[in-house]
Amino acid sequence: MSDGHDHHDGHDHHNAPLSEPAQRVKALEQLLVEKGLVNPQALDELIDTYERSVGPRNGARVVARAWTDPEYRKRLFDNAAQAIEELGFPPGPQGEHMMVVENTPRVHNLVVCTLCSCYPWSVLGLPPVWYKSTAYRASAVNDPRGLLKGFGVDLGDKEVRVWDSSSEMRYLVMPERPAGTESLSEEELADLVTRDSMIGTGLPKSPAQRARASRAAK
Amino acid sequence: MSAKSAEDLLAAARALAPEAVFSEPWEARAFAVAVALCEAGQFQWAEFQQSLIDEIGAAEQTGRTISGGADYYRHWLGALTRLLDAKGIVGGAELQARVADVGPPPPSQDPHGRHR
Repeated sequence: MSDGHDHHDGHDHHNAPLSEPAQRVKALEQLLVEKGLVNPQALDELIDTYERSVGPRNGARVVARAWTDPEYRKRLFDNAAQAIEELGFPPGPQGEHMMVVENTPRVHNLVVCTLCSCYPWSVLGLPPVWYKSTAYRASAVNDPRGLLKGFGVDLGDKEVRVWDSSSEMRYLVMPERPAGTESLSEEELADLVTRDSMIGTGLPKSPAQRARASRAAK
Repeated sequence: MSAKSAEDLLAAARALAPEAVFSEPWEARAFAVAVALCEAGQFQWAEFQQSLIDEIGAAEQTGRTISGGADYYRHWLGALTRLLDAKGIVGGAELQARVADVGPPPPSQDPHGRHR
């Protein structure tokens, strides 16, 4: 503003914007730093971790390992959190209680958190915007088939099981291994496993889709 | 919510930010503060979760819908500040006073500041 002294509503304007979340966060962080409860550098590192290191790539490795190693697969179903940590992904605050639910030719699994936004951070990172939306959280329960159609997943006559996450339990969908992938390495298999396929709103890529994607990236 | 509007809202939410984790820096800050305080033992994650559930539930009960973007982190921040207030870690009044201090760019930054 070029002429700041003519606020029409007096000088209390700069005391008012409590609704501005950026200012509230800044104020909160300042107070917590002064109280010695948080360290700004540690916050930077946390953000960096969740923006860069922790993401669906972790979950894809878990799924690909389970597809190729029957012993690992067994451990994963026995104690998901422990088997996931085995691959170097420690449970975050949200990851302590995990369950892997398996898609089969007859059953498709879909994960939601109807009350808030619980999500298996350690394997999928932070949830996408739509996962937290009222629309997704309501439709997953009211009309899961319709919702899946919107995501381009047509289930035919498969049964749909909807898993409602909570602070007690989080779910990871283990998609079916695509046909024609017998000769692929674990790493190549992990490339087929999308984030959405582990939420249940998608299916893994086929080897042909993967090849097209890597050609397009070149 | 009718099926049609749910579909539209979901399409809108999916278009909003298909991949980005945070749309604005303050969202990341609010996220990290909650995680750091939990890791430091100031509260259990389940306590924060409950506060978030209350916050979101209260909004949705009045018929408001959440797109899952910045509005979601507004609720996150609301849940966090309420929990910290309840636990006596950062009081509501204390926070409010500091927000006033942080304030928008102060008017004295303009060249006519001497009029004050």
